[in-house]
Amino acid sequence: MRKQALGLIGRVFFWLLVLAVAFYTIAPFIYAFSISFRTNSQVLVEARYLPEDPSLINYQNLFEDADFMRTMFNSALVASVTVLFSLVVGSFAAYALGRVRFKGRMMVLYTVLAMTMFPQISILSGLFSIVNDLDIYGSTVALMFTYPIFTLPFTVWVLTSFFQGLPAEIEQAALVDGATPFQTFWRILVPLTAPALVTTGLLAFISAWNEYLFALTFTLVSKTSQTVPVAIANFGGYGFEVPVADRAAATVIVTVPVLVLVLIFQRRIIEGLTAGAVKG
Amino acid sequence: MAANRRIRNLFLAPAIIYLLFMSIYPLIYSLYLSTTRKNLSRPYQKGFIGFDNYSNLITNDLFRTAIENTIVLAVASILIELIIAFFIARLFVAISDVPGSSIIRTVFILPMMLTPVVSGLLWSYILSPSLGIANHILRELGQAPYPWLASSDTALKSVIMINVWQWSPFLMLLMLAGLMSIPREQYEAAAMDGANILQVVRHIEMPFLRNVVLIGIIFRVIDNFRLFDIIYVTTRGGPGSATEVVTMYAYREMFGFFNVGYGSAAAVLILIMANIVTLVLNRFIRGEEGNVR
Repeated sequence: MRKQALGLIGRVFFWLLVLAVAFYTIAPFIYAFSISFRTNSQVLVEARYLPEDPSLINYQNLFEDADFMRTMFNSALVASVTVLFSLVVGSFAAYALGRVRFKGRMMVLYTVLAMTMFPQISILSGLFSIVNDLDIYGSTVALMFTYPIFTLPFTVWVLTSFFQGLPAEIEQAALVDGATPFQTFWRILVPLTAPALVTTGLLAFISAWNEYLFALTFTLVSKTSQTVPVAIANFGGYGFEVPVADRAAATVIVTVPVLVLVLIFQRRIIEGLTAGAVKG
Repeated sequence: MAANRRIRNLFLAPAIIYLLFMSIYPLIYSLYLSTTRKNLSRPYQKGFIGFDNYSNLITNDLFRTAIENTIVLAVASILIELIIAFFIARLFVAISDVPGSSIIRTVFILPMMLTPVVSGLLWSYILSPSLGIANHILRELGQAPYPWLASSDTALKSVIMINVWQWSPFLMLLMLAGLMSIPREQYEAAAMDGANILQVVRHIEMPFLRNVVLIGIIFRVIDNFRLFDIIYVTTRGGPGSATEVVTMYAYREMFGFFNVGYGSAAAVLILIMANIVTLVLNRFIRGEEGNVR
């Protein structure tokens, strides 16, 4: 509607702006991608836009590096367990908060909302003692145990508003037909909230995959249980080389899973991100 | 009714138990630790010292610098993000009918999905003083190279730039959602009255976006108070104390120097600051509109 008002010059200028925005966003990705095809010794000579002699050696090194592959596996495992736990426990709680009226409901909801914005550092020293007492310090279990601290409140918050949006008749009809509350929840309400489960699950996965503070605190001491962000930040390289290029390849590899998820589920992810804030 | 209550308790229990044990209890324990002189490298040294850690903190020069830097970081980042986000959100509204625009939008939100450690590393390749592409471009343009993260004059600015790159998409998404919810009639009415674009922005879009933006700002303030990853991989608070921020300070005290009591006090102060800002900004949200719960 407004576009018709723009002349040819306006339109050219407008698309140049769009291009500039796109460039500003993706240039850092492209540059890391370009470095990842050079060797460490080439990178340490001079900066270049494009690799002089593209090689896959960095990727080959990484895929042959059992330690690095182990950290990828750890990240995927920790994130998956976190998602599973958050969705199961979160949808139970969201059902109670969204479908059952009771006193103190708002208080629970607002406490949950406050927890979604908690600075993790504020509980870290207390959490460290718990992790130590449970004897899980230095293991991936410590992360599976602690990651729901930030994924669960968000899951509960978004799913509660979803459950609230479902019409009451559905549930009543099931209860009249003699279904137990648990059957109603599991057979009827959960399938209906599947889209919200996908959205919150994806966001929980991404935030667990990206998490650094807890991972650094609990797994730095143990090479076999580190997640990718910890491994990349403390990258040792191979032999005596400064590992700039290897590390660039590693950043590309970690980014790919997130990139694929975002591209496939772009609409859901955008919905979830806005829902988390707008409905607050 | 009784059945209802039992069901509710049953469904709610796992989440409540988990959060009590893993979130509330560690918070209380951290509060307690912040009043002790506990140090992991000196196990014999324990004991309650009241608010001594806190009074030591607020007279500590480095901690004060950390607070100042955190405030500069938060204010500058959020202001720049707001401008970029509004500009880009309007751009996306304007091209929303064009095929393929959703792909450009997805590309634009990629930075906020990226592992913060990785975004710090990406930018450290670009900004490396002698081997980075940024200075390579400057040299090609005949300009003097810029020290970026390496000098205490420019390090905080560089961190702000990285922060803005990663998080502008968040505010952009919120504004986009807000702009898309403005009824078309309002624009049409404004066009009939001959309003220019600035008037449309000022009298239609700004009021509509107000609450969404305030909520976004609350999120971003807290994000900036707890910013750790990017700084940890790019500068670790340096050079000197140029990019020292509160979370970095608390973390280093707790796990670098094993000063758990003192570090906990710093971490508790971060929580208090975050709460104060949230409460103040929240007032503005309810203040004028009154109907936004």
